[in-house]
Amino acid sequence: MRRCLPAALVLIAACSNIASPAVTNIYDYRDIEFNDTLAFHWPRTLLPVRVWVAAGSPIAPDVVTAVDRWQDAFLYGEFRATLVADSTTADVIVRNDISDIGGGIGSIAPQCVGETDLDIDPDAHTLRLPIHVFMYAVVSDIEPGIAACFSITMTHEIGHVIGILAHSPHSEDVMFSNPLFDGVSDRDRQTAVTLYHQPATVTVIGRR
Amino acid sequence: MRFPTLLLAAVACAAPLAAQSALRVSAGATYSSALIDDGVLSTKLRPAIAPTAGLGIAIPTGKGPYRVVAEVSYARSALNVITTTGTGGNDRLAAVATVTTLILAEGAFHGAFRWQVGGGAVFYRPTERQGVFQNGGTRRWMLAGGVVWRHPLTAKMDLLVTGRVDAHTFSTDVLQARGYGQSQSVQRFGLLLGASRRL
Repeated sequence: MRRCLPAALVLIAACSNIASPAVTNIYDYRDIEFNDTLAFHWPRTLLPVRVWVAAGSPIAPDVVTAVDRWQDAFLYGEFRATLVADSTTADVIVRNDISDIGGGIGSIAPQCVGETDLDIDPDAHTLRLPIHVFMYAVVSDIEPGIAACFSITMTHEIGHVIGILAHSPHSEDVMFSNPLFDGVSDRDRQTAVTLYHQPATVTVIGRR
Repeated sequence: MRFPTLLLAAVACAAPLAAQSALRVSAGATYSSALIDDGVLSTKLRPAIAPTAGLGIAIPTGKGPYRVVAEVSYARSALNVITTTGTGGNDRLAAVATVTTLILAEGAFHGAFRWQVGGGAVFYRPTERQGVFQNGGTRRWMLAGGVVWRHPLTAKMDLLVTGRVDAHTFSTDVLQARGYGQSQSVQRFGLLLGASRRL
């Protein structure tokens, strides 16, 4: 029996799976409209998501940073995006401007404002592409703090683009309505991961 | 195809080292079990079957039938994402290359068959920094074993067919930072066709 013990241990070790942590530290990412739950995430068939921002735009680096941050929140490539040169082929159009659509979800800081307009039909449970993101400075572009405001706000807006349709109640998260955290918090990350491993109730239409 | 070409050139140009030492080249395919089997997210990350090329040297140990084989092999394949709940769908991520270095003991087994057993290291090198490889590659220690069938072709050349199995545990810095405990046991199975040239 003793001789079998090392072999048994080796066999057990050879068959063990990694121990996945529980995902418990999350906030509600859904949009509840008239008691109806709207949950959206990009299907893998539409990855990578095509994002357009004008070449040379002062917010282009913030878009790249925000996309990288959210991509790195995932371990299995659940969300991936790429920048495209032609806005007519984009799933997401980002502009350094005041929204000409209105009614979107976004964030407000003293230095800059962001807004994400998702054309969701709550009756049909559809999201029509493209998604429009606007971000602009409400003070001079050279005002101290504007760079940080752009970085935080764009990360917040891309959080809406990936499918977080609500705001975090925690001020330590970038998805807080008036975010201060420049990055993706552990709670933001776990929320996004949970979102992508639950069924979506909203399907994508338009373009492609 | 540059790597296999270099291997063949190395065999052809090899200078004699010692009697009965042999240089080996091989090519084939490697199947791997899942690098991650995430029970909470119901997701598996498994490399596709990988084309594999190898180069090794076999050195006899004294007068017995035993040899020491030092071997390096290269494989590369895409990473398949397999979800088991139907919420995410399946996907294919950027390719990951593995460089495997092994030291094996080899001895006679039965007829033209020879056994191999040993260990070494496998180096994972992602072609893109994403997902579990967003901080780059990783190195894992491994155990390996196999069977080699040898068939003489000429006075100096043998045909080799190698069946190989190896095992290692897998984890990365990112997985550990995100609270993934222990590590995933990974088994790989390789089938390689090669040639051996006595030096």
